[in-house]
Amino acid sequence: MKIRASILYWHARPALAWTLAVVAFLYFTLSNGHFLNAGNLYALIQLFSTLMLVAAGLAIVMIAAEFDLSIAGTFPLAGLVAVQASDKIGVVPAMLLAVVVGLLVGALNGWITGRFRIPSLAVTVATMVLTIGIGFEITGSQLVTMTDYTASLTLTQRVLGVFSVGSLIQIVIAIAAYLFLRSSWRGRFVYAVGSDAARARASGLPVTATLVFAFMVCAGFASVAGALQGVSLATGQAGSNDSFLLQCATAALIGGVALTGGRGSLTGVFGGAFLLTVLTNGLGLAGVNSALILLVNGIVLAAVVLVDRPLNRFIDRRLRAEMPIGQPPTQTSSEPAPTH
Amino acid sequence: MMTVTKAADPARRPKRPVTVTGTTVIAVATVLVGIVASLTVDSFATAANMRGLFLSVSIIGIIAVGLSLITIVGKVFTLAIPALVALSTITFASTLYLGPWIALLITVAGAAAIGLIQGLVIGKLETDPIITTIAAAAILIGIGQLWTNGRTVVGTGEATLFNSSLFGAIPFQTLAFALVAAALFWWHKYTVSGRKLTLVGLNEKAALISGLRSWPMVTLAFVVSGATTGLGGALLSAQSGQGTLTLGASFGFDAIVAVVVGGVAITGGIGTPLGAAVGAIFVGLLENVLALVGLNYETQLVIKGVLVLAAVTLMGVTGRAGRSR
Repeated sequence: MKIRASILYWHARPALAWTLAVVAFLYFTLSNGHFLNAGNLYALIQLFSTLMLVAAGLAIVMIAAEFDLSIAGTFPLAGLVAVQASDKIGVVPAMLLAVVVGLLVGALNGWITGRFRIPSLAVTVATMVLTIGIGFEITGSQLVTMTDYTASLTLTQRVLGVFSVGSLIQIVIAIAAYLFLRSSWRGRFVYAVGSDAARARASGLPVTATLVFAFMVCAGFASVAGALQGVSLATGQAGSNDSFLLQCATAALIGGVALTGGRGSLTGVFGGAFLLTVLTNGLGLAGVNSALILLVNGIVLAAVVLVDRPLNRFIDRRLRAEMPIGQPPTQTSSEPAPTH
Repeated sequence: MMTVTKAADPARRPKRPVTVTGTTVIAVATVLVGIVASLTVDSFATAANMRGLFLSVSIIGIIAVGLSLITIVGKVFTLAIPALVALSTITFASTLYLGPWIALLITVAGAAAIGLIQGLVIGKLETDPIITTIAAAAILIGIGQLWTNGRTVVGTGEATLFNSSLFGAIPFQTLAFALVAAALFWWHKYTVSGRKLTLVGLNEKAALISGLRSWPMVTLAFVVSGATTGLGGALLSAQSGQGTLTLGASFGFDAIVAVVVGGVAITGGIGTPLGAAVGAIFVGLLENVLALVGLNYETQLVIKGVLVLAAVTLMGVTGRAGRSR
């Protein structure tokens, strides 16, 4: 019965994230008359849907107790591929091509991480450099643009006032991911692998396949979002997108995804993404410059990281103390390698 | 050195030779590439190119040598290097009017202080190093933007001292690189605190049981890395007498590439600062040769990515540290 209290805590994290998001939303609504404009809400949802999707992908990798730095490269790369190829093979095939490229990067990440048991940080740093390099390579370090704007206009056309085709696609995929992770076998495998890979392997779960799957989902989501953004803007420039990676990681952590793996739900991640979007949009609307917004993002992430660990350890200790002797501890909190 | 390792984990001992060859392989490869290049590429073995090569390697090398300590102590990387380099160039340029040495001192001290904060947070509060340094990078860039309003800071003062060459051939920066690499190598290998650093990275639990807390070593690693990054930023700024936020953007990757290629294991405890220095020289040399052969920057970036991937995978396959999964 006491154990239920701690499970309640893990369910409370998404609620906490959403509460903060709603509070921020209400604050900006009251403090700025333009915040609830259809135009501003549209811009907010454009931002939110992208962040929501990519953060969901990163969260799935984090639940599997790994991390993917390469989305800082995959996300812009997908946009470049989509923009660059669309003049030759058409917009839809170009976007599919971009997603395929992303999936390949993800498969590579997952395979090397799972098969050779190499820390994913090392692997994804390498693929991040690789994808940024490929981005420069295919564009020749030039700004690339699309000649045909019809696809951009279709994607960014308003639906129901505040949505767009692009944002709806991303929201639908993100919600599908949430349902999948919650109630499919493969989704539960991700949790099992993340909470204790050795035990998962010993009980016959396909650990490597699950990791490959998680990384492919992450890179796939990043490239869908990247391709949509690239085509929407009809332009692209090679480089890394570090601040976006920062936001995704922050969203996942605010939402209660534990860096040690095996914990967290996508509802929380969506809440975290919403909070960050509202903050970015609201501050931007209030005329705060982008450097300060970046600073705020950094401070939010630092605060979450600082609070997260002691809080989780406290909950764990409570849980451990309440458990009857002889039962295995639920989390490897004494493990020295938090990144693993 | 061996007794420490033995006491920590006897099963790990046989793996030592593998990692030694890891760095040795790169050293041999560096020499081979150098010989082949000087024989086949005409413009390689010229004084001007050598000077350029030394210059390009030195700053990355200084940063990589410091970064390797973070990797050795088991905290993977810091992703705040580009931000810290940028902030250091700004600090150096804005304090240059006090004189080059004082500016250098202020820059290094400031960067070390930033390293100290990160080290304390990561070591004492046991936060995740990657996430913490991502946050730190955002905060540093934000501060830098507010400080300079995104403009380039032009220093008023003479910094030519740091661009001079000793004996006409060795740039000042290369001398600094050699000194930093030698000092850190010596410290890491022959002092008690250096050995403690390795033990913490190799096996944190064993270190704790033998009465060695990890956080002072982690903090120390971050302070040293901060100081070397500050030094790198100051030297970079001295080249042009300017400081701006976009300077040093590529240094984060390059330093990580150098550390990984130089045979420092990402899992911690294995490798030396000298390995990182050799890695930096290898990467710099390869870049130089590729550029001379006519490959562009884009292709070099792709090759760098492949190189890290290969190095990481090879280290994982040969020097399996027995991590449980």
